[in-house]
Amino acid sequence: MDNYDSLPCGVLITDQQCNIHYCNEQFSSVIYSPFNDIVGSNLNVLLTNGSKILFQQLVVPSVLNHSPINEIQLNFLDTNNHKLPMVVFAQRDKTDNDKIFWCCFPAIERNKLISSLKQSQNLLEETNEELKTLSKTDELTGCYNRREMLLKLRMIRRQMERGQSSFALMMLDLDFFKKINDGYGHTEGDYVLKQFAHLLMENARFDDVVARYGGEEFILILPTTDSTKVMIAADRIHQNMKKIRTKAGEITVSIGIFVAHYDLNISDNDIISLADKALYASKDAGRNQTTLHTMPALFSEKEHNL
Amino acid sequence: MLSVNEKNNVSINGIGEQVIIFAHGFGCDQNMWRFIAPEFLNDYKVVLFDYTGSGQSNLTEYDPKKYSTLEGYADDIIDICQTHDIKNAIVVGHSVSATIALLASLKAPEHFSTLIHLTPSPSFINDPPEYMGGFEYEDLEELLDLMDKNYIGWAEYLAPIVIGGQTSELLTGELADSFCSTDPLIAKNFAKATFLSNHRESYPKSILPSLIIQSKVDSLASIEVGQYLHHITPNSDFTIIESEGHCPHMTHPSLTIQAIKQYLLNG
Repeated sequence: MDNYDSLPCGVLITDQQCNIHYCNEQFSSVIYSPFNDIVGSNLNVLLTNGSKILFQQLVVPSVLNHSPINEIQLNFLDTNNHKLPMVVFAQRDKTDNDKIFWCCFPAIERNKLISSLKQSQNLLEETNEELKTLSKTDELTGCYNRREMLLKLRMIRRQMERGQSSFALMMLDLDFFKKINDGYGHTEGDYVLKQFAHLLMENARFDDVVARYGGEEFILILPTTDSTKVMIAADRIHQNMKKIRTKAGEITVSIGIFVAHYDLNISDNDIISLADKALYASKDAGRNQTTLHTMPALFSEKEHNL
Repeated sequence: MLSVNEKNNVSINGIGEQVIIFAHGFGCDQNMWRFIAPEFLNDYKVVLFDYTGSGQSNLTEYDPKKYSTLEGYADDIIDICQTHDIKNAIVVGHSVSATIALLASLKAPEHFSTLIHLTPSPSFINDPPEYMGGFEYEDLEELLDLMDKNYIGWAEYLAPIVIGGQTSELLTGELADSFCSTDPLIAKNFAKATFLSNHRESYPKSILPSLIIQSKVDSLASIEVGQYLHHITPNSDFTIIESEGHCPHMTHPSLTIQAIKQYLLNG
């Protein structure tokens, strides 16, 4: 057998069943095992259990198929039962079918490097998820922000078109909110906004969209909802307002609703401003109430304007 | 939609009436059968294929969710049988493919007649005292970690293919030279389906006659695992061949052929 003791890597020569016939000095020294123990044993037994699977399922079939194995990391066990990562190259002898050459390079640093790369990759993926959530969310209240609401509105309109059903867009504005901010400070104002958002989210159905539109204005989009259903939802919100605690006592909300039929041919912004108009009608009529506009109202209004 | 033949790189050869399907295991492709399949061409119609995600299969329709369980791979076999109107087929399944073939036969029994399980294991995970699959959960975690570690090497090799996007032609060309390489994420998905699943409850439901062939020395599927399977599988035969390693069809093809043919002749 040739002597490969001066090569700067571990060398093994096995038969095709991976029984070891030769081991160079380098290999025996990295796994702290004398030649005699290595030669005669099977390469498989020098590996950790997890590596055995990769070895048997991927490395051995490849080598037997005369495909060289390049740079596969396998974990070996040294005589002290410590895990030793090694990068393995292997090739079946071109003339002697029953001879496989194995070159093994200890890869402790490479292993650390790849572990940390993998960690960074996982961290990046997590951060990316967090950022995605942040970009959709209103920081103070935790409900959707205006940008995300507009995206959802577009999506819901498409869904409603396919399902040929109507949906409702509700605009909500806290009555006399400015008084809380001016009289008790922004911290109290923020606290009230948080409670209100929580109340809306708590009562929302799974596919409803709750968003902060700006200041003390919120938008609620209710897919597959007609006038009757949305009025029930609005009534519930008015009733639940009692739960909100403020230093100024009870607070009420004014609501404007626009119920849109699926084939309504107006822009998303038009839908929002129609709900906004309904909201102002509620404000004008003395606040703490709901005004609902539907398509006929829209048309009569147009006719009226003409 | 791709045809099944394109999707799974199906090849059908041989002059017999009876169909015999060879199903490769995790990590490789139909080339594993190159020492075995030619020996059946005179008496059988021999069907070879690559599972979606392996070998020269086409990845355009790869669905990570479908192929995260062995049932997804079983559907590949059923699709091939349906496309070619195959009835009463013998399926020779290596390693995890034994379980995949069993699942296919339970879902669509009309296509199959006999199952040959070559170095099978219904579960790699130890569950003492009644079952020793050979591995602890940590060993399998180490395997998945190693697959990540080897990702970088593979990714470099596969980069031109991956960047190409819809690259079935490229894949066919490039992967032809790389017997056991495949997209690393897909390989990991297959590895999870293979090594973390437990199908010990499927084998007692087996309705077809089956032969379990185990290697004398095999660190992945021990003789004890074979005996256990024989015990829980109705209408099964069990044979041990004088081979070492998990791939006797590559290391000891003549012994493997002999065991299969003997069973089919006597059966």
